[in-house]
Amino acid sequence: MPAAIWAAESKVLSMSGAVEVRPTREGQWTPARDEMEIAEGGAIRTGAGGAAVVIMPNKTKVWLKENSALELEQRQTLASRLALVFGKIKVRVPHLMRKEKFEVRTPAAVCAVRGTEFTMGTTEDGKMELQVLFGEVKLKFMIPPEKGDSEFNIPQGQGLKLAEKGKATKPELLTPKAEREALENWNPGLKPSERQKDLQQKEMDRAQIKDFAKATAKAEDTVKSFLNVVKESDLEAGRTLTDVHGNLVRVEQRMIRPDPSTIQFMNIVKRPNYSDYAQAANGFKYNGGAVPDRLDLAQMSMGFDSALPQRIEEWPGFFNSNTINPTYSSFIMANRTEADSIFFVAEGYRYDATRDELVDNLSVFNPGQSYAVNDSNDKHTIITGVLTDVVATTDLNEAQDMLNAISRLNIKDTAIVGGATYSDGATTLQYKNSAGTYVGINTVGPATNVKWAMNATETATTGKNYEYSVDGNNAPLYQFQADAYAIGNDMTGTVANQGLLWYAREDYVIGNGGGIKNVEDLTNSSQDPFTMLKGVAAQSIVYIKQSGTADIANLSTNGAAYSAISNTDYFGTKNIDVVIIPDLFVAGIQRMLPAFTNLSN
Amino acid sequence: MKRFTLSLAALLCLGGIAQAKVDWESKGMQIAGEIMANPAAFFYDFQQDLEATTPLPPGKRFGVQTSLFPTTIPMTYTNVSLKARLHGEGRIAPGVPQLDLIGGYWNMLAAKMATKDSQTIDSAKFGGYYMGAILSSSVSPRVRTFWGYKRSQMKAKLDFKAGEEPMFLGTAISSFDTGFKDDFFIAGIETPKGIGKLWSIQLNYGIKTQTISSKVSWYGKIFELGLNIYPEGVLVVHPVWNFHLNF
Repeated sequence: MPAAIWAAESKVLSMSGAVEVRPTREGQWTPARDEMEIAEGGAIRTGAGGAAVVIMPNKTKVWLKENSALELEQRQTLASRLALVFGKIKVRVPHLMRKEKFEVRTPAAVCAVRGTEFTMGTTEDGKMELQVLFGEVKLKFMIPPEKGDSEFNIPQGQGLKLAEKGKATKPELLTPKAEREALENWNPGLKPSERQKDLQQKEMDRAQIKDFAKATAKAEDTVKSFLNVVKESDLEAGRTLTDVHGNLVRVEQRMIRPDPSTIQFMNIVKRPNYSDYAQAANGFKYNGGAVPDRLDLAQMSMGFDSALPQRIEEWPGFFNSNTINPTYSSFIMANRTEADSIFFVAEGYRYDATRDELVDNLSVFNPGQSYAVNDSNDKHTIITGVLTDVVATTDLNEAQDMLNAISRLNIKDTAIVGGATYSDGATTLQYKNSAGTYVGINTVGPATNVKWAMNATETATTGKNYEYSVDGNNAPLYQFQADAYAIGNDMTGTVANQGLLWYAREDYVIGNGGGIKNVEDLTNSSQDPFTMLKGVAAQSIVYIKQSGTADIANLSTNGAAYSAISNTDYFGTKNIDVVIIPDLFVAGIQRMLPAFTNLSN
Repeated sequence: MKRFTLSLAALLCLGGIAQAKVDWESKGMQIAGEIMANPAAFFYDFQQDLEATTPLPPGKRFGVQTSLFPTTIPMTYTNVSLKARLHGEGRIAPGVPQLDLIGGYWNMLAAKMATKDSQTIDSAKFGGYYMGAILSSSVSPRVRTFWGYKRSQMKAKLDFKAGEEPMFLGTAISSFDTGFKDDFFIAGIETPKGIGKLWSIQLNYGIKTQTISSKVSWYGKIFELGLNIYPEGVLVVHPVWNFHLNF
């Protein structure tokens, strides 16, 4: 291949005006013509108005401006050297073979190049200038200057000027004018106005690209502002996955503000089919069978004593600069498959001004009453049961109206308000309906059956709750728990001896495929938390079970507690099965953390 | 450089006036919340500060860099980055861009120091690495564009002492092994502003995390000053000061 290349000689590619060639070292100067060959030692020179282009066997192109002289000093297989005697040239060395050298000499310096484009000018007395357009030139002065370096590696975009042979100089950035002159078209026969035509076209193209980029940026800003408005007005997320029993689940999450002083977080769980499942070992029995078009709901509400700013971003500053207290909070889980018959469990928290905190004790059913921290009535309470419409077929939805009232803690037990610390948990329980009137909750609808209850096992001396989980390294993440609740706080059975009910839960941490996650799935991951949480969900199956005993003193061990939990449900045969995805919760915590710091509990 | 420093100082002063009414306590809590929500992303932004993702200047074959601020000081990320040119622009064939390999490693000293004083943490490893390649091509003598790819990984491993493990759903957690890993596309442009001095701006796009960040840098023969912008980060703007040598 090299032999084939070097079989050819350098030749004149094109020319205009006065151009002469000396074909060999000993040859005579003769007028040049296109395709004329120039051997080693040969030379080419241009007169006033003349210009030429020489192409070498290795594809190197050399443009000569007027009044220039160039000699092909050396032309061997792996070494070429040009000598610029005087004038101006542009050299484009496109590509050299391995170990191949290419040099251009002037009276003052030698320039070594590879894959480079540069222009060079010199006078016979040694003044010179160099502009490197692409690549790099290694320049070495023939006569080292008294001061400064005698060798430079000059990269593209830089140049060098030597005013006098032997005088110190150093590289400098190309000026726009020098760069423009070097880049212009050096082909022979062009008028001065035509030489920068390509450059002007490129500049116009760049200007158009800049305009386009500006227009794109403007459009992007518009879209961003629109998206911000959407994001600020509401928060929402959703995911489709499979639950621990293999049912296809669609989870939708919303954070809304039903009124200016209330925040509500809703987790809606939809399943096209809810299949029957066997009781898990150490778990609880499901009696409801297969259900089509299943709908479950988890809802958290929190009310404040002042209106919150419209924009969530303003909340941190608002909570820190205002004395604001929560008035209540509630957490509801409900089986909403039938709109006219809702099975639910709710936990309520009222603001206790004396203690300056949210409490979930007896005051939930006795608004305004404060119970001390060590009071026997300062225990967790729940309200649970079935809410039904008066007439299922009408548009009036009393069941939902009751659930809304419970969500806002618009409830009370008139017996407790009257001074007692216990009741039957049902007949004196009232809710404020949408007309603003308190009515007995168990008087609405043909099958409404609601009871409130207080945790009976919070004091470990008398009873025990039930807990089951797997210990050990990399254990599966699930936990079963059941707590006994005394209905109406009637531990003695004085009123109607309603006894106990069991608030039982099976909690699982699952992946999108429904598999139960292990500890190391969460703790040993190279994924960032956001990505990891996208593949994780929590499933909580809730049952309210009858109790095999009315005496919590019998519940001295975990096993005894489990035995006391009946397989029979307390209200019908339904359960509540919610899948909660962390997506919106994480974003909400992230954005509302300052709000929570003001809540002492 | 003087103009750059003065401009930066003026910007900081103006920023101080403009933010005189900021509720810092609230802002602090917000930042803490964002860090809690995604700690790896917060610490990874500092890794991006130390990553040398610009090409070697034309004519340079090898480069070494260590980031001084905000990585070594105050984050105690001891770090080193290397660049090596495989071939220069146009060397293999006309139009073939310059190809540089890049890579680096860091380790957080504070994590190891904290372990010594902790009664619950047995050992803590906090570090990361990155590697990639950058192609650079000239569009004019003073303007170079570059494109590249990098794989970044940050690892955070925490082992708890036996008997001191925190509980989660009834299970003792003996260790945390988490981190951040993503592949990034890099695109940028650079232009010289003096001999051995360059301005560069680049965009990094994380393929998995779908995040974008930008770096604006001024670099001379020894130091690099820059502003890294992470629109989705906890600290959106990171001023950066790096030391480097190119040979």
